[in-house]
Amino acid sequence: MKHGRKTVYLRHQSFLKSHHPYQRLKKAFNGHQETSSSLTPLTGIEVYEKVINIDHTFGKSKKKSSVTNIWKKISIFFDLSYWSRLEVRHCIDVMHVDKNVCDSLIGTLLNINGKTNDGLNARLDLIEMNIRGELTPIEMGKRTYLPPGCYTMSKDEKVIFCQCLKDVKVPQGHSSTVKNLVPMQDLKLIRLKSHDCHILMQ
Amino acid sequence: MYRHSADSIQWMKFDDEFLEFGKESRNIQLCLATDGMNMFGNMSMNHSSGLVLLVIYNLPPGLCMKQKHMMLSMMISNPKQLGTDIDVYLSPLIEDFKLMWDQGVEVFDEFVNETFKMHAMLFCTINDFPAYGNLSGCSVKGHKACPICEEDTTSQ
Repeated sequence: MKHGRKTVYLRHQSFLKSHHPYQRLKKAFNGHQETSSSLTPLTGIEVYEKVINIDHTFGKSKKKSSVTNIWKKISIFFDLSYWSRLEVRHCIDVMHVDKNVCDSLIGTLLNINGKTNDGLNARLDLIEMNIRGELTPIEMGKRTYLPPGCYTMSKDEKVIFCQCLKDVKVPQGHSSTVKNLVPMQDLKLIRLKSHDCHILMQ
Repeated sequence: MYRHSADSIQWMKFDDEFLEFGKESRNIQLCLATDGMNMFGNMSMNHSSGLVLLVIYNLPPGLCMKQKHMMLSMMISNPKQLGTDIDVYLSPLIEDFKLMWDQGVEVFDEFVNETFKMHAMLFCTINDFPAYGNLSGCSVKGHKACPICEEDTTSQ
């Protein structure tokens, strides 16, 4: 994106089941209807056929190959004769994903300064993509006013949310004491370990 | 109901395809987990270290992810992040896996008092997303980051 200086990946709707109602929504997503069905992941044999011709040397190589290829090397696991027969060869660790998703979700919902992903640059990118007109930042003299999105909690909602979390009691050893993680005067969550994020996401 | 990897389709298909392996219930299925880590609780090390764990999937779900039943097969230490060169470090392990799959090793079974040929296979790997790119050799950053969409990844 131009303003946020990040690469974003779109068209997540295509991973839904075909004819899912979300695929026809234009306004809620990036302004286009999603018609293509989801792509099926490559099987092991297909991957093996793709990577078998790649010539890759390990270690520091002086010249880079001019051909850009998304597959970089033949994975050493293909030395195992049965590896290409497996359907799910690599699993992604749930805990890492949980932590990242939970962090940005809590940051954006509670609008924590520095944690939220909903800043000025994100709003400017929305104008660039020509969607979500109601979130356009309004310039008022020196200051710029960001209209709150429907997802951002108001102060009362934040109090209810934090109070609810504060009252949660968990069995011993289930997660860290949630009461200590919620400072009521700041209305945010602090010192979340990745395991707490996992419990929260559950 | 999915409670354990043994309930997965992949497990059943594998046992069907390789009948010899599937018949013997004492053959073990392993899972390889990798991650980077910081030693001694030091969060600002200018040295990269990682670990490779092996998980035995034959154990019941309550036991197989416990510390006691995991095998620390390898500690990798390098001044820089290894990237795709991790294969060089993994090659002795893969050599062992090949031996365990092709020939098997003689193991004594205490319960029935006999020795038998035990085979082992690598079921899957567990890793975070950057390590996924290093292990599989697929691109996970930049414009073509999705390993499923590959060339058709849409990004802005």
